[in-house]
Amino acid sequence: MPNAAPAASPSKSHTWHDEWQDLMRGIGGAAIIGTPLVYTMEMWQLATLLRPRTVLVLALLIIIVNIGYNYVSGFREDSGLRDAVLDAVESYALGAVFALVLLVLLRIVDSSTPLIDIACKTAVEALPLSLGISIANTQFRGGEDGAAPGSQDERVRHHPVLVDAGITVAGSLIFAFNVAPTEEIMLLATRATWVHLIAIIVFSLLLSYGIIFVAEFSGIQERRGAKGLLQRPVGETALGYVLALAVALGLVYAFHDVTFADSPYTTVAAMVVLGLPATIGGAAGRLLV
Amino acid sequence: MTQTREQAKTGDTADERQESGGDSTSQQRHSLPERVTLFLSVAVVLGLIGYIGWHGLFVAKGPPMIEPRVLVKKAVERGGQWLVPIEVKNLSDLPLEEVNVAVEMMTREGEKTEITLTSPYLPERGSEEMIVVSELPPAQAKLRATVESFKAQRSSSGY
Repeated sequence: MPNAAPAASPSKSHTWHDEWQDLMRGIGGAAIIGTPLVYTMEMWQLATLLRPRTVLVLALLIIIVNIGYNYVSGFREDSGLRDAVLDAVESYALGAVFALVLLVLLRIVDSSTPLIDIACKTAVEALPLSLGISIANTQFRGGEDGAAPGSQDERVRHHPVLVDAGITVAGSLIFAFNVAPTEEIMLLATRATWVHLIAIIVFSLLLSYGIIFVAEFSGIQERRGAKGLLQRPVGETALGYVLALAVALGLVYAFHDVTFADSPYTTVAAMVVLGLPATIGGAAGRLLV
Repeated sequence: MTQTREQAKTGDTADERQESGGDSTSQQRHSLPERVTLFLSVAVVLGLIGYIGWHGLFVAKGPPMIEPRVLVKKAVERGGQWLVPIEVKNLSDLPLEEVNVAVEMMTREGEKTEITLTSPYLPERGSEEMIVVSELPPAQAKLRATVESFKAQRSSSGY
């Protein structure tokens, strides 16, 4: 995998041992983050019911998210957009292989399953797994050839809001993905009254603010002293929540048969309900960087 | 990673304060994109709260109305069986839960069969199509769909 290359001389010192370590790290990340969704029935059903072109669009979107995440997380000094693209494609491919192995092991697919169904199930299950691989290779690298912080330093210094936004989207996706395909989201959205929905919005905002700016996780003084308008409590909390809502809306559209044009209120309700775990994921992501 | 960012931010902040002479000056230097993004973010959140409140207070009124329809014309034959679509439409502005629709089929000989279809949720103004599998062609039997029960969000509490 390209992201295994050390900072100074990517191609020369990257051995098969490094490659193997990278692969295992990626598989570990995929297993930790994505395995619960392979056990979720709605995911297999959705993969069967979704049109192949929708599955392709979802795969493309997750690759774009992975590109953005790899790029802003700056795991290698010389990493540019090209490396981020290559790593995103590799992450998705490895996620697909890992998904297929699990699907076969768990007998979700077998030799009698139509090929298009196997392909769609693999492609859908690979979505969260690929995010896990990207995170493992950017955040959990260790040893001598571990992440080179230099490029991330630079990106955080020059584009703090962009880095925050990218991490927020990735964190939101990972967290919300675990519940987004379940029918419970629509049931909760259906039964939530407008008072409950507004309360969820306020609670999500307070929770995001509390996790980032109140809880003594790390870097609270720097957060409080950050100069940017969007790095301050109100700006960061509002922007983070809006991004989490955008992720939630995308997942609602992808996994549930409800549209803003037909049923705006239920769509908004589902977005707000799913926006809560997405907000938590986004805040957790920002804590990592 | 955390330290990296902290260091970056600390450095940035310190540099900024040195250059500008304090927080008051740095506040004046907020760029237009930053201000526009903040304005839009706050507007989205307030707009969302406003829309939900407006819908709850002024739109979601009146009794729920559900219209089940047997779409005989859209029935198709597959492997000697007839697939007859039943459309369940929520005509109200209230999202509904556990919508049960009874489908009654009566043959010319007077033999009656009844099944119940359940939709877990039906968004406001939304519809769902369910399929009834029949041995008889719809032309040889009389099909009728009626709503048996449902739950409205305001009447449900606890599970």
